[in-house]
Amino acid sequence: MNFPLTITLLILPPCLLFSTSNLIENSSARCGYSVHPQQGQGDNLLDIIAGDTRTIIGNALLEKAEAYYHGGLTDHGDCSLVTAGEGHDHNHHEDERDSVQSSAWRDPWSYLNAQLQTKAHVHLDKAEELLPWYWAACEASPHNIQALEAAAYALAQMAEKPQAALQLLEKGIRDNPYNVTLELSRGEILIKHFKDFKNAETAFLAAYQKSLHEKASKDDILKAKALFYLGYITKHRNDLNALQQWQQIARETMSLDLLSIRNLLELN
Amino acid sequence: MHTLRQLSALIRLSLYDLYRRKDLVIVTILAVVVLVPMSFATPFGIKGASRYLNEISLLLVWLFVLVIAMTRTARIIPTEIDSRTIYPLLAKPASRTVILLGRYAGVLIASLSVLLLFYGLYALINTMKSAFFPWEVFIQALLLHISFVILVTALALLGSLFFNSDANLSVSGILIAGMILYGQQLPVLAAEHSLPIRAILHILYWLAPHCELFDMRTRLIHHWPAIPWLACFCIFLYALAYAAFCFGIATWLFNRKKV
Amino acid sequence: MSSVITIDHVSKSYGTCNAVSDLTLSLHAGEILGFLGANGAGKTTTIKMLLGFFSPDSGQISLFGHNPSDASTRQRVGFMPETAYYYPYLNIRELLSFYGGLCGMSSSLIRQRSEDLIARTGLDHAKKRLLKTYSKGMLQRAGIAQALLHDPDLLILDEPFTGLDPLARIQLRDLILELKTKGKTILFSSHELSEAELMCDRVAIMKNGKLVLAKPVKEVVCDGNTNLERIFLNVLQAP
Repeated sequence: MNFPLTITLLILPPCLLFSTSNLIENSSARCGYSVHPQQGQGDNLLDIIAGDTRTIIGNALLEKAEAYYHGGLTDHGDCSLVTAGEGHDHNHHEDERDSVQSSAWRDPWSYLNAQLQTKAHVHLDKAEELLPWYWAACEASPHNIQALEAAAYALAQMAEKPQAALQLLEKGIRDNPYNVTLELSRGEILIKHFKDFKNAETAFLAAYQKSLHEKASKDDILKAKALFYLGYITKHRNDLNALQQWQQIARETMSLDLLSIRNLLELN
Repeated sequence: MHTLRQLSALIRLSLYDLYRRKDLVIVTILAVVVLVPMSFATPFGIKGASRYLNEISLLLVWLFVLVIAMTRTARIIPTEIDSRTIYPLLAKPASRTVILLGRYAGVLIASLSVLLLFYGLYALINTMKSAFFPWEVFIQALLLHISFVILVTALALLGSLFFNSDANLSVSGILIAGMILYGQQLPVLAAEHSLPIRAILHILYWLAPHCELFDMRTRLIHHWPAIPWLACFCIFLYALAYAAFCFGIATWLFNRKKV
Repeated sequence: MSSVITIDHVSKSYGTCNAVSDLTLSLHAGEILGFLGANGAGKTTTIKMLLGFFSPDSGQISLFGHNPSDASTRQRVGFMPETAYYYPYLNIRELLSFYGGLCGMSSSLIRQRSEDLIARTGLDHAKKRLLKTYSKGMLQRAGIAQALLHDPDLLILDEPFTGLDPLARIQLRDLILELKTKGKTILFSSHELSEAELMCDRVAIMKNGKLVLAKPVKEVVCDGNTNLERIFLNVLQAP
């Protein structure tokens, strides 16, 4: 195999995948193919051709973003943290390091590899370094809800660009019209960053209604979350009748009241 | 002096081969095509990201240098035989060992020149863009990458005496990729199996080239501290020893090869 | 007269095929030997053994009294292969510089010899072109140039006239005869019997790996009614 051909074979498929994805997506959106229950018009010809490849690529890119958040570590549950971060178990490995040194002669490859790995990890506070990977993950797989959610979080919380987060979620909702999670995330951003209770209520109401849809995920936590936020908003505007109504729905459908939901889900 | 002239001629031949065939031009254009649009990209309208560019740049450097080094080395002997240039070559007053050493050194120098060019550009662009550049890690990464190229070219040279260039590239490629991905998992896998698979996995762990030991891209991109220099030199020596072992067997085979 | 090539009861087989059987032949200094035979007669195998590419199964070969597989022995040998495909991304100067380097020649000597040989092989007009743009005949000329570069005492030419136009043939013939006057020893294999008849002191005809005739040309064609072509056909058609 000659050199240019080798390079072309290596480079071309991913380039083609990304460059044609939007083109095919736009042209075939009208076809209305639907292969996944939570997806809508985003299902396109490329999905059919590429199958799960886009999902795999999307997940890989998402993992890359996660690794960036942990300062490049892919196995971030296994190292000590240098900079304070959020909610990780961090094991200190001084003893293990000693044992690794003692085994250097028995297994030099493992010892040298251990030298190459870092002994500690940090949490990245610069969101802009994560965003290219989140963006690529969302572009590669528009139905990757985890990527959309994580990207929206990074945009709103870390980069302080809630407007961009909202736009991303709205596109995600268009591509995944039966998805509850994205509506919930949108509602949360509207409350937290814009104090826009009116639009947030619309989002949570949409989330609740979608949670009842047969194509939606059957995860009760999402429904409970939607109910809690609906109750919270009605309470915020002192609409006690509506609050009672949501309270009753929560008891009937989930055998829980809104306060228990809040405690259960650790919502603020 | 005589041998040095012979080696110098053989090395020049590989350099002509690389530069006249425009491999370097192709990879540079490809790198520009991939990296320039990326450098202007503002994902979600937010500027300031640089690590992803560094990551993709280094990935391309690894990929291109590996492809150039492997394809060039894998072709040395088979192309000489196929094009019959081996006959006037062997008819000259140079020993087969010198011919193989010169051709190997030529490909190695050609590949390393590409490597140094790309690393130089990487350092230049990064120092221009940012006040901080991790020079110590950069030098270690460069040294380990050079070690990696020495090792894989020697491996491909040895393979070229067993297989044709396509088969050689496939076998060497699978071995290198396999060791990068699973090299450190082999003892764990071995422990999960009984004999004879356990023995085979252990033999593979001790004999196969540990290509996973040369990649310092993550440290460079994420500004991790440098590794101990002793470990760095150990890995370098390991690569040299492994390459010398492969070259020794290749020379032994080449001296007995009927053409 | 000292013997440049000594082939003593040499045999070589590939599997069950006897490529060369019990070949005994010698070539003296300043002599031109035409090594003739049909395709597959064992000429190229013999030449490869002469150059030390591989060893005979039995018998002995020596060049200038030394083992041909020693690199130092080949310092005195120039070889032009049958089909010449040289490095396509070099020009003729770079090609000669490469081979000169392999012969351990200094840069100035390489430059001097290259210019002379490029002119003598008629490649002056194409010396800046890459070899991949050369015709077959031009590549043959390049092959001759590289074989003569280090001024060898023994020249082994495998089918040197293949692909050459009539003018180039005459030039090559003149060049070979000029080398003979300088005391060089030349062995060439060829199907061009007329050229052999014109140039050679002796001819050796191989058939099925065996030497069937080795005589001075004058003895072979002493009868005015015959020529080398007729002798060659008679030898090959004999049972």
